[in-house]
Amino acid sequence: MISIEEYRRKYAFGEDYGTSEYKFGPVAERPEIIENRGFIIDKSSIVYRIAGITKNIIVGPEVSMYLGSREDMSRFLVYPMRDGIVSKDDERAWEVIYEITKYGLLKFRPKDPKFEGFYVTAALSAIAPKYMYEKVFEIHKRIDEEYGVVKAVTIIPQPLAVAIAQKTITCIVVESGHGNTQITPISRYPIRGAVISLNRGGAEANAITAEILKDSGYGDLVHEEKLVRMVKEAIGLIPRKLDEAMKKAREDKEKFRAVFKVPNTPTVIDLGDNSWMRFLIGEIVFDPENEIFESYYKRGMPRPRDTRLGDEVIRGTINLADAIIKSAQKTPLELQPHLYKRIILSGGNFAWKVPEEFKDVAVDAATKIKMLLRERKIDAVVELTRDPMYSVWKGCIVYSIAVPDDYLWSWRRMEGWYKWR
Amino acid sequence: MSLNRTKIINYLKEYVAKRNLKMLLAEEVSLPTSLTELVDLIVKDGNNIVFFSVLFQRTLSDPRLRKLIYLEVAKLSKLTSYANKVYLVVPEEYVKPTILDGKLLEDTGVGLISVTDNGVVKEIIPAKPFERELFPSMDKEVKRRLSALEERISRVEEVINKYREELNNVISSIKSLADQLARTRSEIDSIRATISSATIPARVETLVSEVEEGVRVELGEELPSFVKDNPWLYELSKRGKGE
Repeated sequence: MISIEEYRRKYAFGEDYGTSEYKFGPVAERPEIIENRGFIIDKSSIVYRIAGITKNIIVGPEVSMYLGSREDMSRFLVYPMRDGIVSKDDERAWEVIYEITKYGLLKFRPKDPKFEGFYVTAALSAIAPKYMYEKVFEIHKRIDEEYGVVKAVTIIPQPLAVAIAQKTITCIVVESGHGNTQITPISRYPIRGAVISLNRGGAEANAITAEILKDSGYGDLVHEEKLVRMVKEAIGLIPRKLDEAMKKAREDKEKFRAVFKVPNTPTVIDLGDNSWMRFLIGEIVFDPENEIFESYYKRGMPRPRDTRLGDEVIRGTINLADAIIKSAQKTPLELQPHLYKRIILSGGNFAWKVPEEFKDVAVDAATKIKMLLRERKIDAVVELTRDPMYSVWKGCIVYSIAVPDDYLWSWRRMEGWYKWR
Repeated sequence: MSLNRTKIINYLKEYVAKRNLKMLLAEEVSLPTSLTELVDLIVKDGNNIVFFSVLFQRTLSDPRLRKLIYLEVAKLSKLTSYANKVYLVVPEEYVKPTILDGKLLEDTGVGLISVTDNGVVKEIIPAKPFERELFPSMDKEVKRRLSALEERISRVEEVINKYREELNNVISSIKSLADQLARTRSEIDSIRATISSATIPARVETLVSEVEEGVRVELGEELPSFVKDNPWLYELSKRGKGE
């Protein structure tokens, strides 16, 4: 029987540093969310002079009040992370991280005289370099020195947090965002030597959508990134089997016809005879190596960059099932069957709809991975996270509650509480 | 009937009049005063400005005339910035190789017109068209526009200064409001302190005790669903124990 000390239950705190959003808060069903960005105040502006602003950086919901022209947005609005990573020397980005962290902690600072600071668990990308850990610790220490709100802090990789939220001790977490896909085997601890990070994600599906739009006569629209993403989400389908899906779509053009009306505009995108291409949008996420994509790469569509796992070079276009197998193979043989029993998919790049009328040819991401693994003679249980938005933060809360107070940070283990008082 | 300078100019005027060319004054083409004496007649041929310069020196010998024409052509070359075509006008008797150097005229682009004693005007060498600088003729217009612009800029500056003054007033009003707000805040804080140190009546005591009761209940609430029955609680609580 576990007894959770009352102080920890009250003052456990989770922080999920996502590329676009920062989710934070103490124990609750859901976290608070703000955008992971900051607005750098232009000290020469009239607003600065007359409003008596004392802060250099604005974060949280207030940011939208400071946004002016597009030029202002590109000059003063800083998104500190790119694919979960902050550059070491990007001082402005680190100041934004400091401000959003401070914003989160102070928002929940209690008036309780017994309050000695939160037990903070922060989640970073699985491929976050060591300097990011050092900087995040430094930021929490600085905030504590200024406001006394952090008793201890620790950092865990986001896939571990997902596994914790999914209540799964042994599993493989596949997290796929906009720019990259991380495969992390977990067995009580994240198996760091087996983590594979592929340089591809939702961006590849966007790129093929743009090519399809060009081929269908809508080349003028592909410069609007948001529009391309909307088209991808509206018409993209994951094919059960690409060849069969394409054949069916060519035979019954009307049923598979892909039409998208751009909201609040008279523009209607109709792929017409090219509607079978909607299956390419889903397929590229799982198998960008399929020869059908070669012609697109030759025409200039960027090919995902190769990545390195130890001494081995892994092709950027590797079939996702092959990448999962490669990652699992880096773990002990005995463990591998247990890992395949639970493969957890998380991240926006796995959120694909399967319309009822296309269920014979289209599938969801979990089914696709399961089928690809079965083709490779591996029976796996694959599932999508139940709560993709909050699962990382939830894992952080559980971690904050459970890890003993005297388990101190070790750079060798990359675990434990980092303390300074 | 023998030619003289005035006659040549008159014949030339008849010649241009027959061709319906419009005669202009030197002022109309913004020709600098220093150059006006070089030009005897100015006409407008379509969009082209054409200068005619008459040379007449009856008593001189051929070699001297040749030298004089050299000098004249050199002077006329200064006019090419102000006209599209420049002609040297001479009596017909000058048109002979001992006086005229055709190559010189060809090189400089200055055309040659001859006038006979009985007033026949002939174009011997056509003038080469020059690119006339527009600026001199536009000078007045540009000056007028510049001064209008200066006037407008000074009016805009006046308006800006007025707004700047008003903005300064707004800034100082906001600062004074901020001061007032700070004072009000400190008054509120002192009132709060007074209230909290004052004796609380029995009725209020009951309310506070109810509230505290509520807080205790909240503290005792169940943990969120994702924490309950989570095997990681046990797993993580063992961290550091077996080392």
